[in-house]
Amino acid sequence: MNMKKATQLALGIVTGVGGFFDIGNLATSAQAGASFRLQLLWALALGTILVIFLIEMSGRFAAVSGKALPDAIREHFGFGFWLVPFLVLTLVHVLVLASEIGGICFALHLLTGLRPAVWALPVAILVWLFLWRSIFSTIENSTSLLGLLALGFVVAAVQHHPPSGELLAGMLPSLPHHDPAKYWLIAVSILGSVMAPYLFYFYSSGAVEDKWDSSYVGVNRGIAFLGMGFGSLIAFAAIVVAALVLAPRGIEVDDYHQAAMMLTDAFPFWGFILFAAIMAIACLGAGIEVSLSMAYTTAQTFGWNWGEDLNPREDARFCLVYTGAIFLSSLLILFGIDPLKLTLFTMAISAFVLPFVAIPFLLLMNDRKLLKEHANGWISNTVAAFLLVLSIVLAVVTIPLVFLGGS
Amino acid sequence: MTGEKWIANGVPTSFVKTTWQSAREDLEQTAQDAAQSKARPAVRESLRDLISQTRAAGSSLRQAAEANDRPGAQLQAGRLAALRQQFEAWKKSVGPP
Repeated sequence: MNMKKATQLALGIVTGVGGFFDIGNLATSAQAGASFRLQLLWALALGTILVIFLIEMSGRFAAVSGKALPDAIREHFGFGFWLVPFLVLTLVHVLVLASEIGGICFALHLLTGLRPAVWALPVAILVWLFLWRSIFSTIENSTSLLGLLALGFVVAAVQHHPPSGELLAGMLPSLPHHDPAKYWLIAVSILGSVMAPYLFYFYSSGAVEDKWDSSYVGVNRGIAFLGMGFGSLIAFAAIVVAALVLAPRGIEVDDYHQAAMMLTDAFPFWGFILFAAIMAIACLGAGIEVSLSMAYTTAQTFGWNWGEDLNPREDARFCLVYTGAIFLSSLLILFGIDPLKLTLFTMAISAFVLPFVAIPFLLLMNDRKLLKEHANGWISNTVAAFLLVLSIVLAVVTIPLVFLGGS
Repeated sequence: MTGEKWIANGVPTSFVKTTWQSAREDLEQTAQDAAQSKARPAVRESLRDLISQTRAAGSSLRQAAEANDRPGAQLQAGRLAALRQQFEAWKKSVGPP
């Protein structure tokens, strides 16, 4: 492996670590740990294994074909086939973006005491400016490096000395001792937050932006396994911290205020500020990624010019999409929607839409004309088949659980 | 926990205020739900009593934080912790909903 690829691998892993953890992971991890201690670790472990495969496949596809997923799905299956998944993905993009903007606003609320809604428009402008002024590599690397601050959760988890027996028991699925509907809703939401559809669609466009070719298949595999693996370690640590700090005090997270105290036992003076900083940075990074992902998907669906490295004059419609998405999403927070409730609803919806957005992609991964020897082998296809079944089950159970578990 | 952390300089005063505001809204909602429930009057009465005591202690904690009165905040944080235990005992005595 040459120096350039080694650097890309290292940066990719950092991006994976910093980019994995967002408001969905934070909210679902805090709720899972506070309400069910370590009993839901299995959902995170399962989601992580599946997202590693999804990310590996989407990067491999982009590296070998030179095309991003929406572009290829539209070309391969036709516009009519792609229209429904595209509309579903657009709705999820808007909701996830609103959740991320809500997360930044709440972090600023923690630091200043001003209501989250007050921050909605300034945050929208900040996200937009970041996108308008930066090129892809700046966005990718700066937010991911800052996102490493989230490793604070790992340090806190180690300091709390989690019981190893309970940790191991939590890795195996088990039935809840109380609130079964809530337990399953959180499990579904964890899966929705880890396998967020925007992640693998964004990743394939990023690979095209970085001009990957088939020589990057190995680098891509390393990034998918190590980046996503280490990234999930942060979410894992967040569950542990919530389980050891909030659960013993009988605190359940039905408001971000409760989650904000998660790090104050490990870091008595800085814990609160660290939590707010992690929340703000993780959401800023993810917010930028989701905005870009929506612009990539829309531009590729309609065959427009696209690329964060282009001058806005060269891809005006691409820029218009992320501009509109950011301001539309910020309106949800401006009108006072509770950021935590919005996030949990969005994560459940992400799980619900998984079959719509994953099926075309998984079908494409078996196209030997396009991918030749890099098409899915039996291991990837076994995981893909499991994922398809799981995504259909999630789609069926999510909506009833939202009503039962949210009550 | 908020009071305990404020006393230890772990969270700012504005956080105590906003947390209390959000908790008060939840308490009001719970009080409304309790008033409309079909539970026995004695059960509803004991919950209403717990809610009003919690409301008073929370409000006092907020005032103590605003006045930077740490001993006062300590007292209210202790009251809230005791009320929490009473609430858990009440939940156990009532059984699952």
